[in-house]
Amino acid sequence: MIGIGEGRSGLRWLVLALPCAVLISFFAVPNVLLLSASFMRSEASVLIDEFTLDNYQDILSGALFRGAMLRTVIVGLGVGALDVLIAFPLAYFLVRTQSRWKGLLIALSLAPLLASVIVRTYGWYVILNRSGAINQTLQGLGMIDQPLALMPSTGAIIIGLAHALLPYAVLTLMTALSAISPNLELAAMTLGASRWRTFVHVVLPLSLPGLIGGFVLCFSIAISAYATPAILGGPATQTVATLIYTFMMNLLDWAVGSALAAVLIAASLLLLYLASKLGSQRTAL
Amino acid sequence: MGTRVGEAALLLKGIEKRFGLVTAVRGLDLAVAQGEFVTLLGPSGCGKSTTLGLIAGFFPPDAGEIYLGGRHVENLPPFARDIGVVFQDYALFPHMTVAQNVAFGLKMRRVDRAEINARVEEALDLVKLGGLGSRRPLQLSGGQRQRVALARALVVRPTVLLLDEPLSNLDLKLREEMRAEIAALQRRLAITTVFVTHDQGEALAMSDRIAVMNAGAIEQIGRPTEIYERPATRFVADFIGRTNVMPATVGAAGSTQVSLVTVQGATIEVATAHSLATGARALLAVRPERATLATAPVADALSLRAEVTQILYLGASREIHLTLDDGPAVIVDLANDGREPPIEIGDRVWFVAAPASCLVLPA
Ligand SMILES: Nc1ncnc2c1ncn2[C@@H]1O[C@H](COP(=O)(O)OP(=O)(O)OP(=O)(O)O)[C@@H](O)[C@H]1O
Ligand SMILES: [Mg+2]
Repeated sequence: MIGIGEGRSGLRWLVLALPCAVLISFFAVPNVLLLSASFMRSEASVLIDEFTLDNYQDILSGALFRGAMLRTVIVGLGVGALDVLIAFPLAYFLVRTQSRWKGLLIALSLAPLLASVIVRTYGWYVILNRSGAINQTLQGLGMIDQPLALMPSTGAIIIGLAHALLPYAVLTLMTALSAISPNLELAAMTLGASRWRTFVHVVLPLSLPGLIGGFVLCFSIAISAYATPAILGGPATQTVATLIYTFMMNLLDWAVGSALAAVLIAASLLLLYLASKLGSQRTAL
Repeated sequence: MGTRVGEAALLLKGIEKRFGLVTAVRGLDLAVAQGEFVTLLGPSGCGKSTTLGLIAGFFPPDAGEIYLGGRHVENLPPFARDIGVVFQDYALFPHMTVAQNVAFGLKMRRVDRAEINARVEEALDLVKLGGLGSRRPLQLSGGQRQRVALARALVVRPTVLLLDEPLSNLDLKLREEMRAEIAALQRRLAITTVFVTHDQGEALAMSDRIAVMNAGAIEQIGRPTEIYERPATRFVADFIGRTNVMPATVGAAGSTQVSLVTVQGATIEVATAHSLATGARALLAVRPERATLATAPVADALSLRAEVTQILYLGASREIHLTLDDGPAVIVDLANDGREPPIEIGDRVWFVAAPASCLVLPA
């Protein structure tokens, strides 16, 4: 027995070492490089090895960045809220249904994950643009004369991202809801609680960790998303992610771009930390 | 068994429930009097929980009528039925304290704060949990959770208390303790109760009446002694306690008495309520503890030749396994009176049962 345990420990290290190596070389190192770049000066597209806080000062005092930061937060909050609101009834139905199509229905609700985010976003482009499906329909019905400017806009970004990220919220909420015994709802009802009060007093408080989890997941993916804001937004509706791209790829200012990225990462980490505090508080009940 | 709406606290008339192709309950009639403790007893899958769910209103019946306290309820949702339910898994709200769990039904009925506090305390005292109100359900033992579930159901003073196998998650010792306690509590509060179990010991010990269910219908309903002493069918006889059953033919049939011819051509006069025609096939049943062994045939009693195949010492009794000549295997329970019975495996003996210990069952 001991021999087997010892013989395996070498293998165990190898099994651990591989993911560690991948994580270090492709995650930790780039992040350290990124962080250090954000403290360097950039002159004529070249990083100069000289410590400075100017990049942060620039972005934090600039209206461009503050506008993008605000829009990013609004997009994150909007996508998180919209997804959790839509996903909750769907997840509840999927968890509780006795239908023999249950498996198929679950697969269908997660199917959007199979299509690339670009494809799904262009779908919204086709619907929302000046001569898109909505404008053509409304004009055809004679309800509007001039096409509506549905995009580029923050709203369009929120709709596109909410659609793309819905399966994540559904999955998170399904996990939380399937942990709630249906007997708890029946018990509440036998004690005189209507369906609504059963929901408010039993289902909602017990699914709160899932709601928070789903919200945080959608929020953090949404604030770092690039493709959807790039397609459904425009120069006037920049998010932090599109701004980073502009700085790094168009202006070739890696220092400011890195500082922007560092702020975005810090904001995500802060949110995750707050959410996990909130979550552990609830589970410690 | 009166079935008038006014008399019964709970009345089920011709209840049917199907789940897809499965008929879980078929044409069930049941009347439970005010303050009565009725147990639904039967094997797994016979429709006990479904019946309870229909009374509670978890799903509507496909046919039939349900009355609670004289009220026609089968179209009412659970929260309008005024019932108390104790679930097998207790279904305590994990995010609430014990006191909040117990207070839930009162809060939903919008009882005022002061009265809620007083009644919650009273209910917790009733189930001997006074002082544990601020605990969480997860911090309690199985037996304590059981008591919280009971207090939560009782505190609202429901018309009917429904219990679905509430003791099956407890260990043996606790189970016996709780069954005595629940029965005593039920008598003290005189609350109409429907109890579901597949444990015959629980059913016999706790109930005013037992309804033995088989395949979605009630096979026999009666007081525990009736069910045990005079089972109406082979299913009931086998399900409650153990029974030796042997084939028989009706020799001569009177109005209350039949003469049965059984294995080895033995004939015995047995009292019966079944009307049986002469020549009909029937079953003769004898409980193991009502039969005995003898070295010679006994006059005026059923005496059958047999061979001892096994002797099991059980402490309070000995279980003697026999094979009847030209007949089935049977068992005799000999109470332990301190002396060792002079029998050994392979002995030729007589299996003896007095006419009063013999039962006729339809074949
Ligand atoms: N929701 C349901 N959907 C489909 N079939 C069901 C459902 N509930 C019960 N059944 C079926 O109805 C029959 C009766 O079930 P029920 O739960 O009433 O049995 P039970 O007597 O309580 O058994 P147990 O002692 O195992 O709890 C079973 O065949 C069961 O499979
Ligand atoms: Mg059951």
